[in-house]
Amino acid sequence: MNRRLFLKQASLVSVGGLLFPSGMFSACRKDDLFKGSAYQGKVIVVGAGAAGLYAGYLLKSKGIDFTILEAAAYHGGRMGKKSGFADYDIDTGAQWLHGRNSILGDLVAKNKVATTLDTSELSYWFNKQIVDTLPKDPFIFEGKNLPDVSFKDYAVQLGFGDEYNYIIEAIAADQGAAASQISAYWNSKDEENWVAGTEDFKFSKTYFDFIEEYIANPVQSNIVYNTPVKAIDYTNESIQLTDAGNKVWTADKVIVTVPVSILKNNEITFSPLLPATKTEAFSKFGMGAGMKVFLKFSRKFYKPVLYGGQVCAAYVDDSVGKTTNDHVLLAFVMGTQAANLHSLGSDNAITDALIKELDSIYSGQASAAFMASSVHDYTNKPFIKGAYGYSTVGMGNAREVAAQSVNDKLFFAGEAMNVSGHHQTVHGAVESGYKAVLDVLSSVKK
Amino acid sequence: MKYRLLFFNLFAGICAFAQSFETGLSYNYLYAGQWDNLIQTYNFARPFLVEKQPLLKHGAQVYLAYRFKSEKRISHGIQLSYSYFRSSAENAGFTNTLGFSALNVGYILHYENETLLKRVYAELIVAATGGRMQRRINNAPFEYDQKRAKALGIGGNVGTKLGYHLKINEAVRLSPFVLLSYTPYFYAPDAEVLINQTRGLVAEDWTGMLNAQFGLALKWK
Ligand SMILES: Cc1cc2nc3c(=O)[nH]c(=O)nc-3n(C[C@H](O)[C@H](O)[C@H](O)COP(=O)(O)OP(=O)(O)OC[C@H]3O[C@@H](n4cnc5c(N)ncnc54)[C@H](O)[C@@H]3O)c2cc1C
Repeated sequence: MNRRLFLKQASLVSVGGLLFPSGMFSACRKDDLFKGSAYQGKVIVVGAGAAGLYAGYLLKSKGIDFTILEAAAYHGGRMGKKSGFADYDIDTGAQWLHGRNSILGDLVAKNKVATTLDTSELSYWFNKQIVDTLPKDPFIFEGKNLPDVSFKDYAVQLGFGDEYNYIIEAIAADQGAAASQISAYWNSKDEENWVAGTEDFKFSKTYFDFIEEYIANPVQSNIVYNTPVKAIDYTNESIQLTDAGNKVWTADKVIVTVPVSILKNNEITFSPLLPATKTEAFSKFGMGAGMKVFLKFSRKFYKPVLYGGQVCAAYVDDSVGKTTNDHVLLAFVMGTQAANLHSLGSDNAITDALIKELDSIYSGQASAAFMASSVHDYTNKPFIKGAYGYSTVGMGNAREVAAQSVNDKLFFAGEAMNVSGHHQTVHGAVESGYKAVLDVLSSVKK
Repeated sequence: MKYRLLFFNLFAGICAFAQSFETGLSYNYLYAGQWDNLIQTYNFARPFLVEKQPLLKHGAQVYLAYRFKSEKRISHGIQLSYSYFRSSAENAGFTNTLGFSALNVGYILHYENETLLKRVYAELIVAATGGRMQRRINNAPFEYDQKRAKALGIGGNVGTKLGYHLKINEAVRLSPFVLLSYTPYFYAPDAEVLINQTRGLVAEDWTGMLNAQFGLALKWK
């Protein structure tokens, strides 16, 4: 069911309720949806990232029979952790809880999970100097009535010269995009609905540990690993999913949570074919290259956050919010810069390019203090293929269309399918996961 | 002719109890479809909260009203009312409380007819509504971005009230009443943000509210 239909039904219920408020005086109106109506069918969730794990967690809590088919040998998708690189575990994927006003904010609060507000000051590499402020404020991509042109073109329209190129690139990188591809208009439209808050929090352990403990652990026994789904046939009542080993799985409802890059590339074939509007909607998403490179040094010589590098637009002190004696700098590389680094072909070459740039910024201190690196290139990951979905020029309502269910059988979730402004995030993926389960159960109720 | 007489009798007679000041307190039952839906979705999506958030249903209202002097069976006046609704769910480490307060400023059309129905009166109330919803977690206001989370809204309100006078003395009357009202709370864009922490995922920016009140008023001549 699409959002519009859902809202229409919800308001019909409300209007109906106003005219005939049957439950009005009964003391026990339902405080939950679908209470006591456990669905008897089988649900298959494709993908065990944040969206798929949360969908599973919810299905489990409702007593519904489900299996999660995961292509990789592990769950988490664009979340992960690595031990042993530093004296604390590093988040190889998502790392900041963006804002507290979200479902995950509640889960953190309820369990008193240790987090720290990240108040790192931002500096810029501008005109070959480190500066704390810029002559012009580059954060120009919020607000109403922005034109449907790329960040880059919009910056030019507002008179930002070439010296701002990599600053603008860093702002686009935050959206997982190259500045030349992301739409100023559609991105700002997306952002209008952002309600989680603007503060960023870091977990004392890792974001992955948090998801692992509270969401993944309860559903781990329902995950089948190393099972890339290749085809979904939803011709008949019973849906058939064929995996890469030609094993066939059957379900009554399917929730697809794979990254939009996988859908764009038609790596899963659907029969009958998905509606053309839907495949066209997938194609309108951008999903740029993305990587995180952790660089360990013997001492701290760098700024907490530095925007504007030509090789990497954003360098961030990773040890903020951690109990550590180590000095780890994170190169957060997205879009064209990530594609450039990716094309170098090896972790060593990527590390060398970054150290060279850091040397030029910090007068040779980087190579002198360099100890080790850990490269996490999401473009390389065969079941991810990029960072996160962003709105391109001409995006229109593609996100809403992409997120719509098909024939009340196929439901779509995942960060890119979040239609309420929290896409590109873990909490947004989680929201899309519960919305998909809600839609599954609504489709049964009809 | 019969109807004309009846009409005359209804509207042109001398009002038995004109010009008064009154105050009242009532139990207030709320039915707000969109908010029910939001709280249900909140509960649905958060299995980690075992105790479910009750729907925002029960509240109280206090009001002050002044009725202008009138020689007719119909009189009119003004009213200021304040309502408060609360819903709280206590979970280990996480007590979530929603509070909704509404202020109504309105116009009253009062009708009573001693000859037709002794001591009974009816009122039509038309008001403007302003409301504020807040969230508390573990008994402290929920804050993010260093701001207190709140959802403001505005709407209209139309209600009909039926009451009964009990004479205490010449100047004072006690009056039990029932009131049914409808509030198109037509602009409440942040209710979903506050309740379900999303925008535009499950609800519209407005809600229709139906109220049923049972209360007691004290009236002075
Ligand atoms: C480098 C980086 C840093 C980030 N930092 C943050 C951050 O700090 N904070 C934040 O909130 N968000 C951050 N994000 C975004 C966040 O990680 C994602 O939005 C979120 O994890 C996406 O979850 P998902 O479930 O939608 O997708 P994914 O996590 O990608 O999960 C999809 C799953 O589907 C599987 N899959 C793919 N194809 C198939 C198939 N054919 N069959 C079966 N399974 C398949 C994949 O293996 C994967 O496990 C970051 C992302 C990246 C890349």
